[in-house]
Amino acid sequence: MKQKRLVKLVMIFLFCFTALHAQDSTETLMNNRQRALEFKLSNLISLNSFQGNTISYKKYCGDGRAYRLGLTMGINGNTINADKKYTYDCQDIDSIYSELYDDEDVATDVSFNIYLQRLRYFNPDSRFQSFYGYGPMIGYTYSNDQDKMWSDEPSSNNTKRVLKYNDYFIGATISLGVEWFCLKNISLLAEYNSYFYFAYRDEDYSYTRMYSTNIDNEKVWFKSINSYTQIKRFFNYYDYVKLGVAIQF
Amino acid sequence: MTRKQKYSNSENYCCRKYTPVFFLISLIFPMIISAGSFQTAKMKPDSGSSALEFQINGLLNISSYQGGTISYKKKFKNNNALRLGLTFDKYNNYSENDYLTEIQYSDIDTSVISLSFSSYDYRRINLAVYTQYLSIIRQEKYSTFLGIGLITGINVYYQDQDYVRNSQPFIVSNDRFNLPRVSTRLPFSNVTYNSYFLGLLLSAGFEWFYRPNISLTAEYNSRIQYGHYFDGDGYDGDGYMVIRKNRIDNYQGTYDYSMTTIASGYYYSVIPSVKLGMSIYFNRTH
Repeated sequence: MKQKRLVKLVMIFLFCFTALHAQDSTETLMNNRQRALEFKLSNLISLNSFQGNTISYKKYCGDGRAYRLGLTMGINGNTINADKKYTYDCQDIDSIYSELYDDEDVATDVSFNIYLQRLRYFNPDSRFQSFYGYGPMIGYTYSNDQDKMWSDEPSSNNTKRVLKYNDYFIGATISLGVEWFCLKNISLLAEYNSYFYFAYRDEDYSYTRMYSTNIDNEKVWFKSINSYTQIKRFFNYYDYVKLGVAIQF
Repeated sequence: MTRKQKYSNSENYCCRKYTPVFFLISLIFPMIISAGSFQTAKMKPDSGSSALEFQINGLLNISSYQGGTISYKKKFKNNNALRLGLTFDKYNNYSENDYLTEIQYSDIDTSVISLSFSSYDYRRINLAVYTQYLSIIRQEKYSTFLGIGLITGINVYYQDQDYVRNSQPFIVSNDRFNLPRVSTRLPFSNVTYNSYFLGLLLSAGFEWFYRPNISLTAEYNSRIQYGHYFDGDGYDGDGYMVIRKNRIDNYQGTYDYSMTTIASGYYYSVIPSVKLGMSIYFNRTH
């Protein structure tokens, strides 16, 4: 309750501040702008990319039209090679034995998404403008996750696991919002967004392990491999509301 | 509680409750008052000015803008600037503990006392240096800039933990029954981790000078980073158990065991981030 009241007070002061500024600004019309970077506002004063995770860019073309480009680019890779040694020293019978394992973990993730939107403003000469937008989105994700623990000697600890998949998706975005050109170079926007996309995944998985069994009082080792390849298709829809700020340059 | 105490408590509560609000008003009110003079004042800093940069993480929460320790910016002629960031973090922690456990069996007038000792040693050093060249495209009250730079650093981490229990619980009084044997030493563990990394920093953002020496910054960042690391883990101990391995069948008795891991690896990543910050300039000539 206290926090809500505090947030309200801060918002009032921030808006007073921007409103005073707005009175000083004489050029606040959209057609005077050419390009903008858009930031998403969250948790009072915390910024994120408005569309996509990496950068969000908007180009005003005049006549109430604008184009928005959002980009997500993520690459992560991690490779570990380890030698593991287990040693048991049995003192009472003076016996030592040890096991050596080659341990390897590989993880790679790549994601790349592009959002493109055409925005149409209803009243481009006004400081308060409403707009709608639509456009395509495409994306690709690759993931490769492997871990192996293997000894030269037969052992039930010997395992290998591989999981790889490719995700492709294509879809569309629809937006409906309002933008307030409160300062010469700054506008605030609130926007409803809907995303729907079709996704396709091809996935490969394999799991290898060793196990033993006794046949005629003799221990015999086996290697088992379980693997599958599968294709998944799914259709998703989600929506949310964003508050943002666009800074023109 | 007396009426006076109630009054005093409620007064403290009000003070605590409204302190952040008063603080905010004191911050924002001068900005509102000076808003009228924004159009006429010279808002860009002079060449040669320096600034400390802070990242705004939330309401009344700031940190270093680039790097964890300090972030510094120096403006040069021709709308260029250099940003330096530093992370330095060193932490040591060593502790020793002695434990005494006594179990009393009152019916047979017997006590069993067990003594234990543990030690813990933890050391950590992180060092990273950020250098970035900023090209200011438009130097006005609202500046647009692009940045490119390098980041490099090391991380060193060491942890050593030992726990020893006395070899056999000793009996203070009569040994009237057969006590279970306990493990004499619990694992000693040791972890070392060293890494170094190298990366590229890319930035695009805005700087808004709302006072001649104070500006707000909104910035897109991408960090492209490669790192290499070395990792060594180990533990050892001893115990008593039945081992049914293929080489030693049905052995019962004490044994020492140990495990060591020597690993090396590398990683690469592209890390995007968006920052909101504040720069405070000093060394202005006028």
